[in-house]
Amino acid sequence: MKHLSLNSLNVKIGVLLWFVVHAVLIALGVSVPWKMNSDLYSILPDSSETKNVSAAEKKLSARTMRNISVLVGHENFEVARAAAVALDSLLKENASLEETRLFVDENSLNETRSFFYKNRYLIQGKPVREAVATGNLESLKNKALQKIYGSFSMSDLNRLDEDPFLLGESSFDYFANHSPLMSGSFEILDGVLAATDSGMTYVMWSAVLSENVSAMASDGHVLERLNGVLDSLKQANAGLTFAKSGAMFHSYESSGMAKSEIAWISGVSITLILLLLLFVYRSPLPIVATVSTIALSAFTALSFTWFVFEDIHVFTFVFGTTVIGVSIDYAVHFFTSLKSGKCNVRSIIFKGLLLGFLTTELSYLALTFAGFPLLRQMAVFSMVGLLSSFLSITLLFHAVFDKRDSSETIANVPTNLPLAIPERFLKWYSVLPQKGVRWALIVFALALIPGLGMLCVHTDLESLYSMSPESKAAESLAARLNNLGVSSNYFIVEGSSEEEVLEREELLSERLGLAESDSLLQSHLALSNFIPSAKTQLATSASIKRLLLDSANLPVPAVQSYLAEIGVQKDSQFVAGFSPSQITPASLSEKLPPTLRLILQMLWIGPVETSTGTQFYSAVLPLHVSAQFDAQKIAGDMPHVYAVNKIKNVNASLTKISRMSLALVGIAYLVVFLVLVAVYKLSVALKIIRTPVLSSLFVAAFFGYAGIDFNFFAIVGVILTLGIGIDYALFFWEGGRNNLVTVLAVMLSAMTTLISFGSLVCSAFVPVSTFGFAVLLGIACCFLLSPLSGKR
Amino acid sequence: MTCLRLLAILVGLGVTLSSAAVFDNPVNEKSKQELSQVLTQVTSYDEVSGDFKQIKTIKKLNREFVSSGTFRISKKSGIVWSMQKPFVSEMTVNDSGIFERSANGTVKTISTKDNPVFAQFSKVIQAVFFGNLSELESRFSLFYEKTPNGSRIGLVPREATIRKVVANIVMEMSANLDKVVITDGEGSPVTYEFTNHKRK
Repeated sequence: MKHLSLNSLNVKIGVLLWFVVHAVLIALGVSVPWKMNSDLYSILPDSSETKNVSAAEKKLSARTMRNISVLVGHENFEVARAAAVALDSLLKENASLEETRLFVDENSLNETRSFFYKNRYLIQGKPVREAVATGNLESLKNKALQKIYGSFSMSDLNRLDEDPFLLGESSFDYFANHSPLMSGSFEILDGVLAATDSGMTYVMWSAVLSENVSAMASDGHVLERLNGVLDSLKQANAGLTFAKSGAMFHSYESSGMAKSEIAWISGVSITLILLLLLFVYRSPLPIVATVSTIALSAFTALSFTWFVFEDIHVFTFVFGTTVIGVSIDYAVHFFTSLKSGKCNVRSIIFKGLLLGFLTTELSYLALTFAGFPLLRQMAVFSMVGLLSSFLSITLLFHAVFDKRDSSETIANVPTNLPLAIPERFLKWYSVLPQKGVRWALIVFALALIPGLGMLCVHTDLESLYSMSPESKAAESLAARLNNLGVSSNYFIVEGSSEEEVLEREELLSERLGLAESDSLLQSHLALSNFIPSAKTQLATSASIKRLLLDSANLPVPAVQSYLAEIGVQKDSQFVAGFSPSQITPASLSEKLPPTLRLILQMLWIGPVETSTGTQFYSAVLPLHVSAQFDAQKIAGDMPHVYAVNKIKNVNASLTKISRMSLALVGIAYLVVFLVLVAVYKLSVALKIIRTPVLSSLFVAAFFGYAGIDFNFFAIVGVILTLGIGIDYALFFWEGGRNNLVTVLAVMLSAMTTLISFGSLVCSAFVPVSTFGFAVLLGIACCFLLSPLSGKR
Repeated sequence: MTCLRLLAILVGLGVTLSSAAVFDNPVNEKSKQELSQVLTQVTSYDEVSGDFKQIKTIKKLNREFVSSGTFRISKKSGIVWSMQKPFVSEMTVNDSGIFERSANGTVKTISTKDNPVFAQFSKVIQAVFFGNLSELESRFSLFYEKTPNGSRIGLVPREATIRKVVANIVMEMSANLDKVVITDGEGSPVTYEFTNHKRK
């Protein structure tokens, strides 16, 4: 192990090996269709609570994500309406929109009424069901009389002979009182839904995006077209305002910003790195070779990741740019040594390079066990990218650039390199007494302890994303006008059939009803409240029949006298309603009125393929919940009912994954340490490993002292610090503390890494900037501590 | 008997025809001023009370449901509708909601805060009885005609969806609001007759 070398490897075989490895990795990627994943939900980890219903939850989230709405506002309703009509006519034919909604169907109310009339003996709200179950005929009768004689009752009395107890109207009333469509401030004005707020009248336009519409901004995106239409309408109508609502708008806006950010951040960092390399090498050749290596590494990494994961998430690209920072180090070490006039550079740098490569790969490898798909993808991408760089430097660069004959060594080459800065840098360290250094390191480590004590390992997604003030105002207006009161807590109910899901929903609904009486929530939205299970429908029908008819299917005496009271002379039409042909339970698959279809679209998830076969799912939404509402507690012992709080669950999962990642990297580091002990000896291994370990602790302590949450993204930054930082200590040990070329190479590596990661700090995206900041701190610390690991 | 039935049909037809005639007179700038004055005059009270009779006619079933009782319309506390026959019940409509009290004392409340649809309904009822012209105008096409005893106002909901439920409303007034006829989408009218007005 002490004489790690590739000298024995034939140059031609090396190049062939380099070619074969790259060809295989790229060919694998080319063999599969390339697919870019921009679905923001897919990057979120599944929590243990929702693991069982992950696919259903994702289906629901993806569908919700596709719903967008625009409130077209103006002081004058006519102007707002005209603009909304123009918007609808310009977009309704767009292929990227599944449907657009502006006009209210004038028949929808009557269709809904007819549906509930048709199913009057099957579908009833809780009050009627309870009255019937307890044999309270008087209650049914009084309610009907109130409708018949009561003032300003809008009940339809035309079917009184068929439905003397007006059960169809009762059912319709129940729907009207519990429908989410009735809770908002919107009213029908001139055929559209309009609401007023702060002197403005808003007309509601909504749409459902097609399934293939990406959440990421791109040329020709339907939201780009929508924004264009809104801009032109705004120009044509002074005072017109728009409030856009829907997750897709935020995703589109964020990704648009991300695109331009990636462009300028990578543009600036690449320019700075190139200028730095040009300054050091004074020749374009190392730069061209380095850039080509990086391009090849990125492409190889991309291909293989595509092959392994079938698609690549756009976030892998963002974090994957860090491969540039890591792989450039290897090229820098090669060319710095080459430029210093050394011959057979590979043999000089190989041991340090190999150990650095292995330790970094081990850190990435540890991340693949974290159980978070995005992290795994990023790790595979980085591992392959790094492997490609390592092979290019050690096999290809060696073949192309390395001077294998010592006669080729140029005696005074070091003067070609700007060694004044490393010289000054080394001077600072040379004056440090060995004992003093040891004490300083102990004090430094002790100073970190209180900061580590203050550390809060926690990821809060909400604090990582801030909406623009305009988006925030639009969402707040939409929430105010819709007044639905949906919270981040909701339930997913699972069943092997539609019927089973509805039956389980009913049990949950009962429990939520109790919570409502305890003021834990105002109400809840469940499909079974409007279309109960067949079991409940048939039970309702049987109870009603038992209460109203005798065994001969004739009205019981009390009903007969009531029929006489309201002038029903023949009871045949009433009795006919109970014939078996009329009592067919309503199902979700039948043609429902538009008002019910909307609720179905909102709550019914439908069949989902799972490991146990096809399962059916629906969502139940608690509305206007109090701070004490605990969905987990309510779902508690109910089998196949899952409490979902996406943000809370994801935060908990990310925090868990963060801790697990740290533990995994800790284990990886233990392995690294053992390798170092095997290669060197214990004291040297400790000397090398203390640099990245102390640096990582420094980052964590800094976050602790600053009171910043040590979140998932900061932890990824620390893991990277451990992966990269050890290289500096290794290079210093291998090259020697007083070797100017080593100092220059490490300086150059650190600078390029600091530029590429440090530039991420400028990102408006908190996760990216947090990650960049953690790496910046960690690498800076590693760089400053690494000379202390050098051989004296 | 046949003659009586014929008479009843003719009288009924006469009422319908005479009420329908108002819809030949859409409100214009001139008549709007007159309408405004009439409404101001008729509703110039803080509170008015009296007796009412409600006749719900179900054309399709050729059946009528008659109820009666007292009413109190107060600009401060809203409309209170106390039905005495055929059974006792009370309904209050005001800005905070619609409250129904049945004979056994149970109260059904629909808060306007919780249910904007009923808030609109409450607003319309109050606009009709308080003569709020701008509110009426925003929701209905207005018609107006003078009659030998006073005037008649016709209201047709602007929304097609609402017209499916309420086809039109006719208000007849002399010194007071004497009669309101609400005709549903199927053409069945509900007639409210008001007598013994006492103003405060």
